[in-house]
Order: sequence, then structure tokens, then C-alpha cells
Amino acid sequence: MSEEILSGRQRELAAAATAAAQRLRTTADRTVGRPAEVGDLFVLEATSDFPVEWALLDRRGAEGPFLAVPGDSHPFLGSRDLEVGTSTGLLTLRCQAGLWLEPAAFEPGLRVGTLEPGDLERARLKVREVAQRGFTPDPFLEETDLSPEYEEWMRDVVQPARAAAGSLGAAETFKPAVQPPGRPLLSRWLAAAAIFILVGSGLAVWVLRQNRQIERLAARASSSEAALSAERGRREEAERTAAQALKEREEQAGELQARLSALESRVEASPQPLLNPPVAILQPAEVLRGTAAKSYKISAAAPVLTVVLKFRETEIYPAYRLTLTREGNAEPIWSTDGLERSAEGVQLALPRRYVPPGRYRLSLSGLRSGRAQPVADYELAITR
Amino acid sequence: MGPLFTQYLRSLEGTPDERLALAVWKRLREILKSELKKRGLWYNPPSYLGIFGWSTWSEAGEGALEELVAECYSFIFVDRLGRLLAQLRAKPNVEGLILLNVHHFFLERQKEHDPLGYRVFEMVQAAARQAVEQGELFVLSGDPQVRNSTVLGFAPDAPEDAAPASLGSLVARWNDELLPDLVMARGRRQEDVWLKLRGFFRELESQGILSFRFRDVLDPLKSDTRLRWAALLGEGEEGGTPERAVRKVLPETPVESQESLEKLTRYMSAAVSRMPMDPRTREYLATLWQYLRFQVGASEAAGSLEPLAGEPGDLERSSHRRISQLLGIPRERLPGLFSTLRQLASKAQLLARSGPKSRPRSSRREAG
Repeated sequence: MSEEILSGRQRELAAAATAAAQRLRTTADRTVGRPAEVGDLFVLEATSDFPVEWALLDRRGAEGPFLAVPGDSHPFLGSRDLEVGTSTGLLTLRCQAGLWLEPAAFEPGLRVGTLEPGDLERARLKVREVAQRGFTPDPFLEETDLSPEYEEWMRDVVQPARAAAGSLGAAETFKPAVQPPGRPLLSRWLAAAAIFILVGSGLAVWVLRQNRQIERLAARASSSEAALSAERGRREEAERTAAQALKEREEQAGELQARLSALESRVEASPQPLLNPPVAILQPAEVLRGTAAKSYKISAAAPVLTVVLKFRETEIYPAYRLTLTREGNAEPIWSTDGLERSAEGVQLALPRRYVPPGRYRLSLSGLRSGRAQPVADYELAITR
Repeated sequence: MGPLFTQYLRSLEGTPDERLALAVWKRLREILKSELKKRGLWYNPPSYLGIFGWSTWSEAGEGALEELVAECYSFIFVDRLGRLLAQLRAKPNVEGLILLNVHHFFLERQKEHDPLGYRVFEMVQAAARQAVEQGELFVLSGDPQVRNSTVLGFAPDAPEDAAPASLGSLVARWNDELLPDLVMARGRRQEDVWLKLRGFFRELESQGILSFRFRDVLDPLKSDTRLRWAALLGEGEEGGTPERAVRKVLPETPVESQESLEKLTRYMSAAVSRMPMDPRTREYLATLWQYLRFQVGASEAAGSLEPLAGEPGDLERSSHRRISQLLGIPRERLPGLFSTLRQLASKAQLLARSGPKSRPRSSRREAG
């Protein structure tokens, strides 16, 4: 049997790929070892489940946190996005999803490129423009903003990646509060509790998202593999590969779950009780029609706001989905499918960083057989 | 043997391995063929994905498929190589990402070369998802995000096999009410179209249909939309057609210019945002631009790419009445809007060609 060889066209394309790889390697070699700087691109271990990179657009002071904006190669570009040139090719920055991260988050070994200098300034301008109150979507790109594919990408990839990065230690969230004189022990405990709970919550979100990501990738992979195997009889090999990948993911998820449990148990085992925790008991907006949402104050010392959602007793489902959205924003801040009903309704503790002062909408749906049924919407106002 | 694509990517950074390159090529070919079938594209002309010169995927030793593999290889392993190698720093393998990139490749291609088909897909999918959220429809099997193979029913316990083999004749009539908004509605006006579509879904139930496969509603609606929209291209007056007007704004289609309409849209967006103008004019320009994109896509997918002769100035005028009716733009505004778009498009094309970021996007079989 004669051995197959590459055709002229195939050889040409393979050579283009090799040349591109060599070029990238040369560029990368120039930046080895130097610490993170504005204009750099990084991947993060914490967001390795998502195909995103982080562009550093700004820094607070010489040693302060970086403003990091996620970027990816999804072909859709919406009103709040910007395509930029980088040393490693084009990247689409999702400018509404930036956050401040401590320098320690960026390992020099995970630097993957740099922004083109002109594009750095364009990106900063875009971030500022998007953050402005009253930002108007571009009519030329509005079609993409409303595209289900785009919304799905933002919901399933960009927002979870942002949440996972946030769990690393966003500067605002993880800077220990200044200790008031005379209460060192309590304050220290509260700071520690806040860190444990926030890290725990972050990991919980991450684990949930990771499980979804695993299911999604596995479903995509397996559907492609199954179709292929029908044609080429490679089912066994495909299944082995998918099973191995799934196993690795499950092991990773299990390990994270164990870490989460350990953190939770440390919080539970804390020697001091948490005094005067804020609690918001919310009635559905339709019940309160015509009255303003009640405001809740969360003191700097309180790590979480406990929320109890009341609803009709007839709305019984095996599980509930909750989506938290800030007023004026289309993108949810956070969402979970993991809620269960108790005698009091549905209860959860929201980390303070999820609900800075402002107005929020909480949408609760019942889940049965993979389908979501709206149950109630709630309004929540947070003041300082 | 380890994960093939990951192994290949790693080899690119060291010593290139021809056998590995060949294996990757063959694997990619298999994946693409499978995707074409899964997406219901195998029986559509290759021009729907920007592959020209073949009328079917299977003719002439599957030459069109080979062309598609070359385009996809370039999309993943040349254009996005930097992104993949970056992810490889933090992941043990990127096999899943390759499949994701194939998905993105199809998205980009479909949106670019079959904008009408893609637009109809997005609108019907959005309406079906809304119907599921509102409890009007239930996902009986398949992807809950509603894809081609998802089976939807009017009750949670509706029998899946009640889906009729063909809904074509029923669904095609929907366009009597849906067009032109199914294609042209923008922003929040799209919600009216989704509402209408949900109403049409409910009508299926009243006709005794208990469940249906998403694709069985989508495909006939796509085909009918393409037909009706193509007919619009020939409905000009006094010898002029909207297509001619399109050509005057975009003298070169992406096939000739090697630059994607998506990219041109981004240039246009940036250019318009820098121009002082009232919001209504900006809105008109965006609406007209969207219309031109669909027209170019429709004619390109239908294979009518012959350059149009004709002196500037006389052609677009003759089709203005039709365009004005379709888009709701005052007829007297159209000459000025066309003129602005023409200037911007010319600048954008020049910029795109001279810029370092342009790259070949479409392929055409060599003549002869």
C-alpha cells in the first residue's frame, strides 16, 4: 500500500501554520521573564475552562491592580466589543466585562502576547464609553447584540469567566477592610469569614459553571464523534477519548468540590458567631405592585446578605433557577440552577460584592424535566 | 496516540510532522462533512458557505468539501493559531476548542454567505426559545437551546414521533405575513416578529400537529424567504433593480474584494459613529446597510455574481420607490443616504485592503 502524502495545497497551508507558530514563538521569547505590564495579554489558570484571554488595559499606581478585560475569538462583535490587533492575531475584547485584578493573578509564564500600541488606547476609550451611563448601542451592530448566539456566548463563556477571575481576588473585594480600633478580633474574624465565604461562593459558581461547561463540551464533542463514527467506524476510539476527557474534568471538578467543602467547613467551624447579619425577605414584585422596593443596608462588616424569596405555595418544583440582574443592565450578574424550596420559600446568601449599592431584579423560575417556568420576579434596593 | 489536534499544535512549535498534518487534514474533513450533514447544509449549494464553482458538495470527488477543509484549516490553524497556543498554556489539551472553532467557522461562513438563511434561523430560534420559556412549547428531545434536531411539542407528554415528515406547504405561507420584517426588523421591532412566529407555532397545534422537529419548520421557511427575497432583486422599475443599487454602493462583493461584509460593517460602524448626524439619519444608514448586506448575500448565494454594467447615477434612482416601501425610509432621503454609504464603503474597502488585518476570506474555484 502506498503511503499518502500531502498535496501541494495541504503542504502550503501546513507551511503557513508552521511559519505562524515560529513567528509567535519569536515574539513570545522577547517577553519571557518580565513582570506583567499594561498592554500585556494573559491566560489565567482560574479561567482555563473558558476560551478567553485577559488584556491589561490600565493600572492603579506602579504596583496596584490591573484593569483586565476578557477577549476571545468568537466571530460575533457587538456594540460593547472591540476587535484589536495583538502580537498573536486578532482578538475581540468584551469591554463591558472588565474588572480590576491584583498583579499576583498574572503569572509571567502565562503571558500570551501583547496588544498593538494603538489598539491599547482604543480599548481604553471603548471601556470608558461602554461604562458611561446612557450608553447607546450602535445601530450597525445592534443585530449582533440581540443575536441568540451572541447572548449565549456572553452568558455561557464571558460572564462565567469574569466570575471565575473575580474569585481570584479582585482588588476591591479582597482588600481586607481597615480594622476599627478596639475591635481587632471581630474585624479580623469578619475579614477572614468574608474571604472564606467569597472564595467559597466564587468556587461554587466556578464548579457549577464548570460542570455546565463540561456537559456542553462533552455534548458537542460526543455529538460530532457519534456522527463521525457512523461514517468511519471509529466509535471506540472517540468514546475512549471523550470518556478520558470527561474523567479528567470530573476529577478536576471533584478536587474543586473537595476544596470548596474544606473551605465551607472552615467557615462553619469558626469560633465566633456572626452578629446582626442583614436579611432581606422579599415578596414578588406583582404582589407589591405600586410600592417602591424596600431598601436594605449592608454594612462593610457583613460578608453576605441573606435573601429569602417568598412565593405562592402552589409553585412547587424540584429545583429553582435564580437570575440576578442590576437595573439598567441587560446582562445578569449571576445565575444559579441549584436552589431548593424550604418552608420559608427559597433562601440564599449573596456575597456583598455581588450586590453593591444599587437596584436589582431577581427572577425566579421553577425547573422540571430540564424546562424552566417563571415563578416570580423580585426587586431589591441596596444602600450604603 | 494522544489527542490529535493538540499533538499537532505542539508539533508546530517544534519539528513539523507531515504524517500528523495529513491525519489532521483527514480528521478535519470528517468533522466538516459530519457538521454539514448535521446542519442540513449537505444538500444545499456550497455557495451558502462561500465555496464557489461547485453546485453540490458531492460532485467531482467532493472537491467543494476539500476547498472547505482548506478554508477551515486556515481559519483554525493559521488565523487563530495564536489564540489556540495561548489556551494550550493553561490547558492539557485543546481538542474541545478545535470543535468550538469549527462551530465558529460555520457561524462566520453562514452569516457571511447565507445571511438570509442565518437571519431566518436566528429569528425562528429566538421565537421558539421564547415559546419554550412561556410554556407554549416543550422540548421533547434534543438540545434544550433549540437547534436543528430539537423536537418541540405542545405538551410535555406529546409523542415525539408525531412530528410530521413535511411542514413545507404550511410553513411557507407564514411569510405572507412575516416578510419583510422577518428579514429587516431591527432592535426591539424584532419582538413583534417573534410574537407572530409564536402565533404561527400555536396554529400548528390547531391543525392537529402535536410535535415537530425545529428543522422541519426552519428549512421550508428559509427556502421560501430566499425565493421571495431573490424575487425582490428583480423587482426594480424602469430597468433598474435593487441589486444594481447594491452594486453601486459595493462595487466589489466579498468574493472579489477578499474582505468580509462583516468586517466592512465594522468599518462602517466606526466611520458613522465619528460623523456628526442626527440619530434618525444614523438609523436610516444602518437600516439601508443591513438591507444591502442581505441583498449581496442573497445574490451571492444564488450565484449571480456577474459584475453589473451601467453608468453611475441612473440605476439606483429607479429602485428607490421599492426600497423606500420596504424599509420605511422616505424616498427623498435615499439618494443622500446612498451617497454617504458609497463614500464610506469605498474608504472602508481601501482601508481594509491596505490594513495589516485583512486576510482572504472567500474561496472560488479557479476557472478552467
